[in-house]
Amino acid sequence: MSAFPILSRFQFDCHVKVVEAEPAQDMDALAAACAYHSIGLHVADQPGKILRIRPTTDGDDAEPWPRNMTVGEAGLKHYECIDIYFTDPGAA
Amino acid sequence: MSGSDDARRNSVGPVLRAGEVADAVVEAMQQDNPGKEFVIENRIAYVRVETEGECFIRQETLSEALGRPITMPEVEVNLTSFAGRIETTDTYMRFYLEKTL
Amino acid sequence: MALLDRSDWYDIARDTNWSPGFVSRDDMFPAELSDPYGIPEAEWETFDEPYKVSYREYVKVQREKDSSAYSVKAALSRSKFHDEADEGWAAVLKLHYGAVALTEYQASQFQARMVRFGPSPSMRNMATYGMLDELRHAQLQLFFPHELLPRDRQYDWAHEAAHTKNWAILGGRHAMDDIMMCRDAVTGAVMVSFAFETGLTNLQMVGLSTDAANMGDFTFANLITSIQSDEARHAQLGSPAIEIMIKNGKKKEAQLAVDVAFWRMWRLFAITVGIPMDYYIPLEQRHMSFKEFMHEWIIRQYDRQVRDLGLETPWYWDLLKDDIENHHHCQQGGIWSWRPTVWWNPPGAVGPREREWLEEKYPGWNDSFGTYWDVITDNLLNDREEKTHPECIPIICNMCQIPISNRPGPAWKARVLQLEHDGRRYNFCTEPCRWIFTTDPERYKHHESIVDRMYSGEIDPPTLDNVLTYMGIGVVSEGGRDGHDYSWVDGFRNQAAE
Ligand SMILES: [Fe+2]
Ligand SMILES: [Fe+2]
Ligand SMILES: [Zn+2]
Ligand SMILES: [Zn+2]
Repeated sequence: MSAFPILSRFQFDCHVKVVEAEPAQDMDALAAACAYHSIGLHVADQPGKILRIRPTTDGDDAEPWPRNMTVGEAGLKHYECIDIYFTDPGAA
Repeated sequence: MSGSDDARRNSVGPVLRAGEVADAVVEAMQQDNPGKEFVIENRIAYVRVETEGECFIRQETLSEALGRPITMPEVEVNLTSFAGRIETTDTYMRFYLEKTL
Repeated sequence: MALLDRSDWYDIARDTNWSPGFVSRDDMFPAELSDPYGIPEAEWETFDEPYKVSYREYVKVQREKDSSAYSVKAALSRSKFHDEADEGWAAVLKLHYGAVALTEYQASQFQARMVRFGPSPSMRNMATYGMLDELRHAQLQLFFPHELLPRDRQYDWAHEAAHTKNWAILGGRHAMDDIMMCRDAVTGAVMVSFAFETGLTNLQMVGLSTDAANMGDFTFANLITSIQSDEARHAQLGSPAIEIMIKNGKKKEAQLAVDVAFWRMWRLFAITVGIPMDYYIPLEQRHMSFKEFMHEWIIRQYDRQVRDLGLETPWYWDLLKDDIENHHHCQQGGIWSWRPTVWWNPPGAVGPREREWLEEKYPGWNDSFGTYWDVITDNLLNDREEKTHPECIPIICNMCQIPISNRPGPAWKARVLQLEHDGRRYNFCTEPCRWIFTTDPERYKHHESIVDRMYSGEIDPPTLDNVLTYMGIGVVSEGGRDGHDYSWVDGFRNQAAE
């Protein structure tokens, strides 16, 4: 399977953006791909913070996927909605 | 904002293209609707004329205010919009609401 | 010569009706084009339009309207107005004509459906004038921008937009096809004549008129208020249709038609009116905020008419009130960021003074939308113009076809609402857009948004350049750039220098 579109709900951004994900990509790489389209364009950078990814849910409270888990392992599909959000380095 | 939405919830009346007909309508309506208080909002390109519940534009009074005869259908040229509902006849236009809230 | 009063002969002249002898009435007025609600013919005979006009009067009055519109235009056509007008105003005109002109032809076709298939003779009679009105609107709004064409190719979108697959046009077409082109006469009367024309057309045609007069564009102010005087009349086809439906036990169906049509039109008009009022019109010439205008014309005036007819305020009214302070601010950001995709030059227009005004009119604007423009302003102040152009696209709502957006910054409200239907995943901007889909999935499920088309092979390969060409950019005219060549950031540059 090749690249497919996921929906990047990037923390503090105004628009939900279409970003292409690769099954072999891990979450850190996907977060970086999403950040490329938000940080410095519509969202201010927060140096030192770490970006995590979780499924978009109504309560904004889903557990993030492990940073080294791949897109394929997480089972992301075409048009999957994901939250990409800033966390402190020490936080779990 | 919701305060004024509420205070004028039973307002009715025409919105007219600014000009001599609009001015004449304002004058005529005050004569034809005695005891009614009107809110007149001048928005440069148009004038909103509003009062509570019901009001009339009468052809005779309007022609007098205008200084020349005008038929009710001719008012349409300048009637851009209106608040409430409308009734049109040969001799008058009526703006009204059926329910008072 | 003594003429009879109109009221003495009006009913006879209007009620051209007969009992068909060669075909059945059902064949002549098939339910799917006429009345799908099965309301008896005798009930439709009671249809009494509140705004009456005879053909003789119609012709006389319309002639007067037209001669006024054309003579004002002729008188001012040699003025230097357009040479000196702010590019923000040009953006208003280009957006207006591109979005509206050919839609009027659709409206005329819709009226023609009522002329032929309206179940009541008086409805058919009134719709005849409506059909002619809409032809007038289309032709005026094609003719007026035509003289601006030599100065700026972007005005060509007045005629071309509707023939393209520009994303904004896909949105307009999806909505107009839904409520105007693919409905029976009765549902259309409720959706278009009532929900659309008594409510939202006022925003475009009255709302922009004061701004036009303030700008000194009396030709345009005169034009659109003249158009709206037709709307005020033919919109009155809607209320008797609603009253007859309610009387015959079809209130639920009438309510559904009103709620669907209003929301669809709202999502579009917030863009074509909200953005001009709060951003494109130079600060000195703004007369009201879009929010103030919406409260006066919709929250107060339109909703009141809905309830007076015996319907209920739409279920999503609180969502609408929130959207009034949100949707067009988001789309101003989106349209500006993706400015090469549109046919006008949108000014960013959020310098220090404009931001003060926005904060006053929309408390909290700075904490939310301000954060978005802070990043953009910073890029422009530091020679990173390229960072103001996104390389991706936003996801598009499968109902309104508008980028899915919501308050940025700490509020972080942007969120896609999804729905799986027949194995396909659909994306929506808001609850009402998703709800509309669920009211009639068969009607909506086959349509592909511009983003869907990038992944279905329709736009192949889906590169940014290809998407632009697909949308008519570089074909009809060049796409947009900042309307003020970024001069609105100068205020911040000066602040920094002080
Ligand atoms: Fe029209
Ligand atoms: Fe119309
Ligand atoms: Zn939508
Ligand atoms: Zn939607």
